[in-house]
Order: sequence, then structure tokens, then C-alpha cells
Amino acid sequence: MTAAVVSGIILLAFLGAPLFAVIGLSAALSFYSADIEPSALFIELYRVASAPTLTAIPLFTFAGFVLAHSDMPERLTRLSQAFLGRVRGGVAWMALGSCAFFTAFTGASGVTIIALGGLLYPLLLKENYSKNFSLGLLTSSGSIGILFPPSLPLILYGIVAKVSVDKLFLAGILPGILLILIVGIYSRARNPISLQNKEPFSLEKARSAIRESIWELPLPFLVLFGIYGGWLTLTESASLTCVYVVIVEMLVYKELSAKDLPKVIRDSMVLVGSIIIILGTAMGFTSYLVDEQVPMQMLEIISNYVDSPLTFLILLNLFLLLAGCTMDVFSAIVVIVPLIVPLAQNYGINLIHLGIIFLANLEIGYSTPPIGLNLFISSSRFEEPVVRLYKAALPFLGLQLIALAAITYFPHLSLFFVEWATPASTP
Amino acid sequence: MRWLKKIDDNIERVESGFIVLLLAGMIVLSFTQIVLRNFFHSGLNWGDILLRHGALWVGLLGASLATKKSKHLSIEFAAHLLPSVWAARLSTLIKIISSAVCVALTYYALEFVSYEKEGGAILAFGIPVWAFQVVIPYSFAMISFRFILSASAFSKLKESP
Repeated sequence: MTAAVVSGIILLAFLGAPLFAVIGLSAALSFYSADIEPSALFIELYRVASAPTLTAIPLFTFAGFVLAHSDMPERLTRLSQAFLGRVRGGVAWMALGSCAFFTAFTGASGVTIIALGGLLYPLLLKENYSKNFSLGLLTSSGSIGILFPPSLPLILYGIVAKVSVDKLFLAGILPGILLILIVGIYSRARNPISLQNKEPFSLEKARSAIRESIWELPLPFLVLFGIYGGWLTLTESASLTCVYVVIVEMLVYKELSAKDLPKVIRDSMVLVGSIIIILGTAMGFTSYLVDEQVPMQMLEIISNYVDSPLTFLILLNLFLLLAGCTMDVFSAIVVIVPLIVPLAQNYGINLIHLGIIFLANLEIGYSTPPIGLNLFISSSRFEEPVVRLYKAALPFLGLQLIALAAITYFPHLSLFFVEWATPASTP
Repeated sequence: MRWLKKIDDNIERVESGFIVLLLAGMIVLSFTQIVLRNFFHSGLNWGDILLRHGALWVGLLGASLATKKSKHLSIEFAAHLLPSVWAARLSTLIKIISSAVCVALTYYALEFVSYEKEGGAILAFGIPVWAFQVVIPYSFAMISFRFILSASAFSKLKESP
């Protein structure tokens, strides 16, 4: 392919062409010029779209859409308010916590800001947090849960990098907590209201809030214990989650009627479809690039300048932040991971650790000015100019970058639970 | 053009119905597997392969619907930064290009399926593998059709004030 064709294709992508079409076009052209039948693209598409782990994606996505359709955001808010309302910085913590929980189940597709933002924004303002602080917090919270199981980006990374999703689920927990903790501590320090002015803790309220959410609270544990107890495979845990949330939302909370179900299914499968088609075309294209030794050629160039794994990771972080603010997390994983994995392996980086670095970066990229997606979503949700959100998001961006540095340079943060859960003998 | 739109809406209804049935079937099948394995120490040995092809189908039918709902993943900031008239023109142009790309991809997907057909492998219950793969060219063909349809719908809109 000539340079003109390549830049034409890249331009097409940046002008907003659907990425699967851009990748499909690149694949067809490069197969054609390499005398490979372009239909070979579909061998990979078929392989990956019918891969065993992939089944978990439609199932977890559907479960997430059911939850998003219910009044779970309200319940989560009331619950955390009952417990954290009295604590200094509590309202900000509750915003972080409920956003994380919600994002883990619904995937970072902007739903969090739309569903929870409207509830949390007035509460933050009532606490006398400044407008900018509240907007910044909510914008960066919009994707803060993607490191927690069973988030779709974790599953997708597992499929693309060919590492165990079970292990990734465990690996994300501590880094995810760290991100929340750092932002949480800052929010506590910035809380303008003194304790005396707060509503006192009420046992009555706390009890009713727990009673209200008692059916949804066990969800993360249902997912985790099923898998790590050895009873369920990933897919089975996903289907159990589906059955559970449908029963709970239909029969217990009665917020989902049988009439709504087809629409929820269809909407969730539209998201799944947009992910799978890009996954399929990209895997065909990147496997061609790997066969053509493209990552190795990249490595040759990079290794002239970079010899320590640490420098490699720093460069990777910069690159991924850039990727994270231009692409959504799903596309970024599918397009970039296959090319980076051989490089990272060469520098001796653990692929599970790499995955967590990857997702943390993309998560932060979401609220990075000037083109992070969360900024635009917040801008339309809260009806504020994007430029104001740039300013509002900056301090949070800085804090998350500190967390990212820690996640990058302390692999143990990601690997602690993984090593703890697996006996030393298994790789 | 109106009759094409009508056809498209009907296809959408059929696709949606199919997706609902498939996903419901996948949940039931997978849930049955849990019960069978954990309580009866048995399982359906064709269950896994069907589930995986269920995912292939809901995924590709979903992708076809995603075109109708303009939900395909893309790099979005150009549309946010351009004035709306230009953004709309750009989007029409991009739809036309995407549609053309998908025509080519449909052709290659058909080739892929015909190779598989010659191979003649059987998936389950005597149904050949290629029959499950038909959804791939179908999906790309529908995507192509829907891109061109929505591109032309836009240009119509512009003509009649």
C-alpha cells in the first residue's frame, strides 16, 4: 500500500467513518496487495465471533442493560447516601462508588453519566461543592468502574490478548480501588461543608435503604464466587446473572415488564453487534499484520531508543492516553492490543498487568481534553460548554494519572489477587 | 424510496424478533447447563457449540441493527467540532463510502461461506457449518443496504425544505 492510501484510510477514520468499515477496507486492500484472498478475513471473524469466551459478552451486556433500565441508580444513590451522607466527603465517595458499581455492570459507554449524573449532580451542589468540582468528578467517574468485574472491556481484553478473563477480573480489583481512593481522598479534602451542618446518620434510613437494595447488592459476589468457587464458567456466570437480574427486576422490583424485555434485548444486542463486528474485522486484519511481522518491525525501531521495560511502559502510557481520548475503549482494545502484546512480551511485561495498564489508560483517556468522549457526554447531559468541562476535569485527570503511574510501576497491585488465587505451579 | 424504507422496517422487526428469541434461548440453554452439571453431573455436549454460534448470530444481527440506529463505533470528535451542516454532509459522504466497502466485504464473505460449503463440515444435528455462517454475508449486505438508505434519506431531507 502506498503512503497516500494509508493516509486516506486514516483520514477516513478520523472523519468518523465506522471503524469496522475502515478496518475491513484496510484488511481487504492489504490482503489483495499481498496476494491473499480477501475472504481470509472472514476466517478470523468467524473464529473470534464464535470463541468460547465471547458468549459472555452478549449475556453480561444484556444483564447490564436490564439494570440500567431499572431504578437501580436511585437505589444505589439512596443506599450510599444513608451510609456516607454524614461522613466528610461522603457524598463524593458515594458518587464514586455508585458510578463504579454501575459502570462495572453496564460498560463504559456513557450510560453512567447519563443515568447517575442527573441524580448525583444536585446532591454534590447541595454539599456546597463548586460547580466545576462536581462536573469534573462526575465526568471522570463516568468510566471509573471499568477495572471491576464483570466489565465488558476486561472480557474483551481477555479475548483479544488470549489471557484468562478469570484472572483479569481479580487483577482489576486493587487498581480500581486505588483509582477511587485517590480521587476520594482529594474530594474529602475539598469538601466545603462542616460536619455540624450535615444530616445525622439515621439507623432507620440505613435499614430501609439496605432493605431496598438487598437484591442488587449481592450481584458482584454472585459473579465472583460462582467463578472462583469453581462452580461456574465465565459464560455460565453471565447467564446466571441474566436470570437473576431478570427475575429480580421483573418480579421483585416490578420495574421491568415483559413488554419492555424485547426492547431491552434489542438495544443491548445493538451494542454487542457494534463491538463484535469491529472485533471480527480487526482480528482478521491484525493477525495479518502479525504474520507480516509488523510488531517485530515496530520493535526493531523502538528498541533502538528504548531498552528498559519501564521506559517502554511510559511511552505506552502516553500513546494509550492519546488512543483513549480518540477512540472508545472497545475499539481501542481490539485495534491496539494485538499489536502491543508482542512488544510487551519482548520487554517481559506480564500480559495481565498489561491489560490493567491498558484499561486504566483508556479509562483516563475518556475524560482527557480536548476530545475525550466523557467530556462531550457530560457537556450535553449537564448543558455546560465543553470548554468548562476541560477545566473541571483537569484536577481529576492529574489525580488519576498519579494512580496510573502507581498501577504501571507496581505490577503487584494488579497481580496480588491473581497470585493469591492461583497456586504457584500454574502459569 | 418510501417502499424501500418500509421493507427495511419490516426486516428490522424480523431481525429484532430473531435476536430476542436467540438471546432468550442462549440464556435458557446456558442456565440448563449449570443445573445439569452442578446437580446431575451431566451436560449437553452440543450445548457449548450452539451457544457460541448463538453469540455469532446475535452479534451480527445486532451489527445489522446498529447500522439502522447509527450506533456503529467510530471516532466521533469531528462531528462534535464541525458546524452541523458540514457534519451532516460529511456523514452522508461517509455513509456512501462505508456502503461501498460493505458491498465488497459482502462479496468476500460469500466467497468464504462457499469455501466452507465445499469443505462440507457438519456442526451439530446434521446441520453443516456453512449454514451457521450465512449470517456473516447477510449482515454485511444489510449494513451496506442500510448505509445507502440512510445516506439517500438525508439528501431527500435537504431538497424538500
